[in-house]
Parts: sequence; C-alpha cells; structure tokens
Amino acid sequence: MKKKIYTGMMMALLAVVLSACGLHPDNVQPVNQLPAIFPDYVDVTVPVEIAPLNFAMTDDAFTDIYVDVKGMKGGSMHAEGSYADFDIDEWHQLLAANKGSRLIVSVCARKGDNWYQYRDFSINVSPYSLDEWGVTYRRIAPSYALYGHMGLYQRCLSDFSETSMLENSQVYGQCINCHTQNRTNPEQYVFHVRGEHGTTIVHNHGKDKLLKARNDSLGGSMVYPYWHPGGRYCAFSTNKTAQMFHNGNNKRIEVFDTSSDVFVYDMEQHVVIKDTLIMKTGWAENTPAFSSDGKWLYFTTARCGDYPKGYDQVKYSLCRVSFDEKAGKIGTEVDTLVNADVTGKSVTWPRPSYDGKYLMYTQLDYGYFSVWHPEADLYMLDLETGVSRPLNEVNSTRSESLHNWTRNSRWFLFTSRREDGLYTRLYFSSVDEHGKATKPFLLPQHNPKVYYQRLMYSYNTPDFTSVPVKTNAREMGRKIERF
Amino acid sequence: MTILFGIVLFCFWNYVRSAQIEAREAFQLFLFQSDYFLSRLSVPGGMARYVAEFLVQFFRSVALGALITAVLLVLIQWLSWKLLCRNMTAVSPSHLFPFSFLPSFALWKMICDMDVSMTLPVAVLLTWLLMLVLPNRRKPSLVSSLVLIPIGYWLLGPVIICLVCCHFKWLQKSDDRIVVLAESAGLTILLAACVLVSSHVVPYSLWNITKGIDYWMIQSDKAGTYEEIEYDYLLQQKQWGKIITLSEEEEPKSLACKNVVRLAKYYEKRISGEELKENMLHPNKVLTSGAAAMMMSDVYLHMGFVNMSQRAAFEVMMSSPNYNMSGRELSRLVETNLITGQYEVALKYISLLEHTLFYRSWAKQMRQLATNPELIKRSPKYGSLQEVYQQTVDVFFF
Repeated sequence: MKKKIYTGMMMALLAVVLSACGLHPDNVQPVNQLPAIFPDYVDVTVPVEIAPLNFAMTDDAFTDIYVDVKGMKGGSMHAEGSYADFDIDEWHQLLAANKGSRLIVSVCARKGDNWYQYRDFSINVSPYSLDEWGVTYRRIAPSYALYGHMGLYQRCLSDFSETSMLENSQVYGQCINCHTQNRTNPEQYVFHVRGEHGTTIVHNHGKDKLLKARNDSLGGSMVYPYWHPGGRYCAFSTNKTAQMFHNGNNKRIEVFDTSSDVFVYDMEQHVVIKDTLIMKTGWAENTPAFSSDGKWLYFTTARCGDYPKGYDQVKYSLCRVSFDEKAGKIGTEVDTLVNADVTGKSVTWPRPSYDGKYLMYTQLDYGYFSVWHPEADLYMLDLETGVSRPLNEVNSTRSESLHNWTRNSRWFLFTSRREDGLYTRLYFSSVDEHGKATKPFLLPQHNPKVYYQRLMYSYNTPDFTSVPVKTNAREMGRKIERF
Repeated sequence: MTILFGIVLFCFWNYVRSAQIEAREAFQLFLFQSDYFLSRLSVPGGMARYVAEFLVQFFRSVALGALITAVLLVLIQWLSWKLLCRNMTAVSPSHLFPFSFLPSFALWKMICDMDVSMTLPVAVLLTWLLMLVLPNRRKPSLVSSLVLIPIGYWLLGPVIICLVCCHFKWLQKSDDRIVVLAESAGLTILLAACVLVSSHVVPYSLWNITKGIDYWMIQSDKAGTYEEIEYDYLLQQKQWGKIITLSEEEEPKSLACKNVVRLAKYYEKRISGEELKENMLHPNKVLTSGAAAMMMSDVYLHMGFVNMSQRAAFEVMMSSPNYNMSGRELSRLVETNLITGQYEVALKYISLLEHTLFYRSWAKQMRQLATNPELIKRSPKYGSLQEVYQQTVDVFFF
C-alpha cells in the first residue's frame, strides 16, 4: 500500500514537473490578422519530401510561440518554444498523409505577459513530388573584386543536413564556381577553379578530367556551362569578364564582359566545336543552354561596346540555333526568341524545362549579371506559343535569378535578394499544368531566423541533384593543387 | 629577470609596435555566441584559437593588448623554465634559466609578423601547461599522453607534438631505452594518425592542418605591410602632423599610404579639396591588402565617397588572412548601409555586433538609427553624408 502511495506521489510530481516544462497560453487575445513569421510560409505550396518548415515570429519582441498543425486529410502535430521546431519524422508522416491537400497552421505567440492568437493559415502540400534528393550551390559573400572563404555544398531537402563538396580552404584560397550537373544527375558535372591552379574540372561517370582554365584557341576561359542531355557535349561561354562600380544610386557593382562567345565542348573527343554563328565578331554571345531534346542551343547575345560608356544600354536578346548531336555541328540559322530591341530589356540565364514546355529566363534593364540588379525578374517563355510573361507569382522588387528545374519540371528553384536586398537566398516554387507558379518558399533551416540572420554568405548557382554528389574533397583538392 | 623581460615586452608592444596591436584586433570579430564557439571547436586547434581571439578583442586598447601579449610571453618563459628544471634534473636550474627565454624570444619574433596569429603563443602556453601536469613517472606519463595527445591535438593543434617530444626524456632516465623509443614512436604515430584522420573531416588541406590551421594565416601576405599598418594606426588617431612627418622622413611605398598622406595634407590645409580628389589613386590599384583597404575605406568616407568606402570595407572582410570577419569594418559597413539607406543590411550587421564586448553599445545606438531612419538626418556625421549621397549622380567607374 505504502509503495502504491509512493508511486502515485512520484507520478503526480512527474506530471507537475512535465507540465511546468511546457507552454500554456492563457488569457489569449485573438488578433484578426495572419501572423508575421519568418520565413514567410503563409499559404506556400511545398513538395511532400520537404524538410520541416520551422519558423519564428518576425518581431523579436515575441519570446514564445505555440503552434498546432492539422492536416485536412488527417493527422496533427505541435511545436512550441522560442521558434516552431517540428519533429522531422512526424512532419514527414503528416505531409505524406496530406499529399495534394492542406495543412492548417494555428499560431499563438507571447509578447511580454500577453499571448496573441492569430488567424490560421495554410500550407499546401503539392500533389507533385520533387523527385530530387537535394540541392547543390556555392556559398560566397556578395563581394567586390576580392574573395574570401567560399565553397560548393550539397543539401538534403528532406532534412537540414548540409555537406561541403569542396571549399576553397582546401585549394589554397582560390575561387571555385559554377558547379553544373547534367539534368540534376551528379554522374556528370563540371565546375571551375580560378587562380594559380586554375582549371575546369569535368566529372564524367566516375572519372575526373582537369582542363586548362584558359583555352588559348578560345582566347579566354570556359565560364558558364550547360550539358547536352545526351551527355557527350557541354556548351560553354568564354568571357573576358571585368567589373565596374557605381558611385551612387544604392547600387554597388556591374559585372560585364569586354567580349564573350559560345562554343560546344565534345567530352568524348575533347575538341572544341566552334561556329561563327555563336562567335560572331562584334557581338557578345553568352549563357548557353541546350533544349530538353538536345536539338537546340539557346544563348543570349548583344552588341559589344566600349565600356563603361553606354553599358546601361547593353541589352541581350534570347536566340537559338539548331544542334546536330550525331554530327556534332551547329545549325545554319539563328532564331531570335526574345528581341531586346522590341522589349527594351535584357535577357540572361535561359533555362529550358526538361519536359520541353517552357524556358525560364531572367529579364533586367541592361547587362546580364542579374544578381546585382534589383529590377531583375523571372520570366517564362511558353515554347509552344512563343509567348513570354513575367512570373509575377514569384517575383519581388529585388533581384531574382539563377533559376533551374527539377527533372520532372514541376518545381524550380531560384535565388532572390528579397529579404534584405544584398544576401541572395534560395527559394522554391512549383508550376501547375497551366504554367502558373505557386508562392515560393525559402529553403528551410532548423532555426531559420537565427541561421539567415547570421549567414554572411549568398547562395549562388544552385541546382537540384537527384542523388547526393559523391565527392572526395581532399582528393580533389590534391588534384587541383598538382594541376 | 622575468619581470624585466615582461617590462621590455610591454614597452615594445605598447610603444614600438602599437600599430600592430590595433591591427590584430581590427582583423577579427569575437562573438559571444554558442555557434561561434562551436565553429571554432570544429577544427583542430580550435580551443587555442578561441582563447586567442577572446584575448585579442581586448587589443582595442593598445596598452591592454601590449600587457596581454607581454603576460603571454612571460608565462611561456616561466613555464619553459619549470619544464626544463623538471625534465633536465642533472643540469643546474641557474644554467637552464637563460634557455627558458628561447621559446618566448622565438614567439616574440614570430608574432611581429601579421601572418602568424596569436593562436600560436596561446597553443604553446596551453601545451606547456599540459606538459607540466604530466605525471613524473614513465608509465602514468605514457598513459596520460595517450589520452592527452588526441584531445590536446583537437583543442590546441599540432603544437601538441611537444608532448610527444617530452616522452623522449625517459631515454636518459630509463634502462629500457628500446621500450622508450618504441613508446615514443607509438605516440608519434598516434599524433600522425590524428592529423591524417582530421584531414578527412575538416575542409582544409593536409598542409594547412599540419602547420596549424590558425597558427599561420591561410592567405599569407594579405594583411598588409607594417608601413600600411603604421599609417593606418595614425589615420585612426587622426594624427595628420605625424603622418606628414613620417612621409617626409621616408616616402611611403604603398599607394594607400600615399593617399593617407594627401588626406593629411588636406586637413593641414597644404592642398585643396580639388587637389585631393584629382590625385586620389585608382581604387583597383590601391586596395592591395587588408590594411590598405582599411585605410582607403576611411579616406573615402572622409571625402564623402560612400560607395567606395563601402567597397573598401567589404574588401577588408574578403582579404582577412584567416577568413575572420573584421569588427572595425563591419562597423563601417553598418555606417555605409545606414547612409545609403540599406537599413535591413545594416540591421543584419548590427545584430552581429551586438554579440561583441566592445562594439555592443555602439551597435545599439546604430540600431536606433536603422529602425528610425529619420534620426539619421539629424545625426551630425551621417545626416550630411546621406544628403550628399542622395544628391550624387550615379556613374560607372572602374
């Protein structure tokens, strides 16, 4: 009997202790508005595989948050604390149970001694899966001429794990950039290392080949790459890049090319395929991309000038030329798809969807280096109708660019400076069968408010990856140092 | 003798190399944040680096910085003497005493170079302490070493090799010399294994790891020459007369220093504002090092060129020899972003500075400005610069 009383008392004490640990919103005041949360996940659409959308109140004065999530098709979960930190397994179960439906999120937050209950909001769980493992990107400070620490990283999209593929601390502080895979397949990728041991690294089905960074026959280095879907060819631009600076107007840098051309590199024969149509004298061809069937090579082009004078009038048009995969030959006629003389704007980073329906590009007032242009917006060209439209669903008043597609062409990612105007962050959105995009959401982090506030790097040249990229950074560093 | 050594060290750093004391602080930003601490602990030698950076934040006061440096080197000398006495019992302590100065002298010479960080003397000091607490019997000492080498390597870096070397002392004390040699070889292999394994888990080359990730700067020669550091120090103090005198004694080699001399001449009314502008050297040629960029950021702000000042400050952050941030230049970036109206970016930097000891109160004042931009107009320093900036016609320049 004594034992039972003792056990009962212990249980009661444990219950008191446990209940004291949790939050208990009381005297809750209803607020007839949506909660201001960071990241803004209100009414976003997410793929079923995505990591938990942890969030916090935007206003630092809120010390606690109490969040209930209910699935319209069933299931629920709860998070509380200084920020909403959802259990990963519970989150994935809830999303899987509500695929194609909605989650209703109820937020109660404490400021001082008062609790406030906000209007519920939805998170839509898309019927379309990502079908990708994660993303790859470069992280680099938004710097000027000099560069410090940077690296190429990969991040699983189902959780928060990030691993480095290569950091420049492993290769004597050199610049590493533009990691590009073939249709999200890491069996084929290419990236560059600039500086003393400069090289272009081509990874082709388990073998690494280091190419000379500067190709004398091209008169420059291999810069912006794009793989042919067949995997034998890779298109590159070769650019003589320089920087100019602004002395006012809240702008910082202008990255421009004194000259540029486009060419195709045959990865089997290791020969450069050149053609005057994509290396036209007096014109700067740039940012190549193959169509999803590999029959077309898209590129942008503008007349060369003597800069800095008149650089704010340099506008790139979007063009395409046919490509014969078997013969490895460029076609004979160039089509202009978006004419800068007509739009009065400049086009950069054409990225065709892999299903062949669309081509997404960035449009800006002039030039091509869109991350430094606040007016840069994403546009989508319907390849069947030839009609372009701004993707107002995802654009902001700040720079959007460096976009790319998932293999199933249902999702795309892009970078945006919408948060603070300087540091580029990674966003995701989906496209429905009518080509309409959903409200984008920021790459989830475990404690996103603190993470992004403290992160002094930008996300650069992101892409999806179907499986983790197998790299041996130490070995790669050695190869580069020996090159 | 030790006290005299300490006084000499203090005078050297306080009067002869005061500029370098200030420069060390300028090239780092010590944050009271758990993730900052964990990021330091995530690489070999991280604890020594953390302690060193904690100490260097006090270098904002040159006298305090000189005192800390002197105390560090004196402690190393004193511990060296203790270790020599303990390990070389056959030799008279008075004969050993002069040799105890050798490590401190060597470190003194080394840290005169900005490419050698304060992490090295801190790591040496802490390793010396570990060696002092090793048991004075061979087998317990061996067991302790087996535990301390991997832990010490991770916390203090490769200087822990001294612990391995320490084991060789048993050669003179033991009859089992082959066993001692085998034990020492085992300890050496253990340390080598630690270094090799760590090279697979941290993003640094084996060479960087072997020489100590933060003992020597990853990007050497990026901090700047001593001439630049000295001119920068005088610029900070606004000692225009001294700058001109220094330049008259010897023409500065650095282009950034030449610009500082022109600014000094302008303030001393020896040249006009127009002459100052006309002779200002090309930014791409001037921003050759961290110290040069620091100076130029100041010079440009003095002249009202906010964008250029901002660029120079950012270049300092990028040219940090060991990828550290710079508290001084982060503060400058707060200022330039307030002037140019990029308040969200300013707030991002302010929130970092609020996690420091010495920039915190200033950052809180700046938060007031960033959250109430109308206050900037009333600020005597930033109001006028913002007005000038808003009236500036934007042009491209190289």
